[in-house]
Amino acid sequence: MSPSVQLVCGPGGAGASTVAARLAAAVADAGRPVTLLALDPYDGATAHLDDPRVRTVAADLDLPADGGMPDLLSALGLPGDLLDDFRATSTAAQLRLLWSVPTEAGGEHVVVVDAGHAGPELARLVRTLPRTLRRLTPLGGGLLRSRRPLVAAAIGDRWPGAAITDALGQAADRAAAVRRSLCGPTGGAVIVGDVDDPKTTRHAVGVALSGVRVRHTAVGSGAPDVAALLAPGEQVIDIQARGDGYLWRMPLPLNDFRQLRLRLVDDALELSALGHRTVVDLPTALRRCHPSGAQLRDGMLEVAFDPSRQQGAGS
Amino acid sequence: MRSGEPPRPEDGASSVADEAARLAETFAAWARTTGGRSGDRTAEPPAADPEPTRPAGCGCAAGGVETVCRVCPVCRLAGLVDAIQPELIDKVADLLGMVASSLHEVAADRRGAPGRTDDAGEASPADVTPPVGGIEIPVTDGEDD
Repeated sequence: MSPSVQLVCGPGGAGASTVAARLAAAVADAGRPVTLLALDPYDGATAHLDDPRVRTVAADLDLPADGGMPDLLSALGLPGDLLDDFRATSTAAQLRLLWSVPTEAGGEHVVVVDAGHAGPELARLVRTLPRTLRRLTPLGGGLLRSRRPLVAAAIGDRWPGAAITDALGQAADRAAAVRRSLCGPTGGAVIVGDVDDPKTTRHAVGVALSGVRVRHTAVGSGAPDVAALLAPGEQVIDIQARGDGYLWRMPLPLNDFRQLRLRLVDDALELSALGHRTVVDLPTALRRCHPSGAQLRDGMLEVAFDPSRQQGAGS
Repeated sequence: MRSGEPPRPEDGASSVADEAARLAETFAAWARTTGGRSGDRTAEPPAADPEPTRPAGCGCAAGGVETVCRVCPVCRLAGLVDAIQPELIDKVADLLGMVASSLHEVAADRRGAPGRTDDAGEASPADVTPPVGGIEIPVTDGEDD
């Protein structure tokens, strides 16, 4: 069973780091193993908590280069240090933070992530990373030979195809495990801020768009009730049979249907609202169906799929 | 690379470019000798002129007239292909395939571009393409249901 990941975030200055630190301490008080992760190594929750029961990890911006990427770039004939500047960006820090989630820990383990103001961005990364890695997988196989035969002939045996396949497979598995921990029944997000503040609303909308359940909205620096927060819930995204078709459902609290834009792109749904955008994979059963409509009511988005209008059936 | 200096590829790193350059030189030599057939008999044959291979069905093959085969374009082309490494022929074939597919894409793009057809006002249903970037799904609040 995957550990429970609780994302604590909010608009800048709302007190997300303080709430995250107190939540981690409260989880330890409840007798459960806990890891506290923070995006900001200087002012984040890990800098506020000195508790031996809590394992802390911060997204260090100054890590040594790993061996894989320079070798890969060299195989392509590019300088091995080409991506060194990228390693200092916030996206790279978020990726390293996600890779620090102890996915191998059991279901008793709780991971509190202090995302600060980057909650929607981190949630989107968790949601889309497995898909991105899966789309990169053909790089290790015959993609070059079939699509760019001249390039493949020029590179020859120097292309580390097997190593790329292995690395991408392991990375995709780990990314999927992180997503299960955050977007599954035991994961969720705590939004820190005043619900009447449009900034807080926009923050919550951004997190929820990525299929992360917004479990609690905290005002001030008080920690939410641990037992209620960690109680297992239902699947965030579920499918129900409706007549001859299906109903794809996802909670979107605080969203207004007039601000939500929905598109079917290949085998995924693209959702965007209030400047946030994410892509959610559709289950296999729906990939050959056609969406017949969508409604957002009482904080629940429902998209109807009609299998009688399968794509390509009439063409 | 300095300007005016031909590129000097490293071992194996630019084999395609290297072999393409050699192919161009070979073609140029072939063109020079073939062009001399039309009157300029003073043009000297290339130093490394490959021994022509006579293809089956070529009339030159039966008579064994060497002078005829030096100017016959069919025999010259066959000899040129025979002299090139098989790997290079594969790469040329790949290149031609890529060029062909690119031309197909350009042609398809020009067919689908607005304003390029003569009967632009009579677009058939087959010309109607789905909107770029997926299918828009309208969202309601369920009040109309």
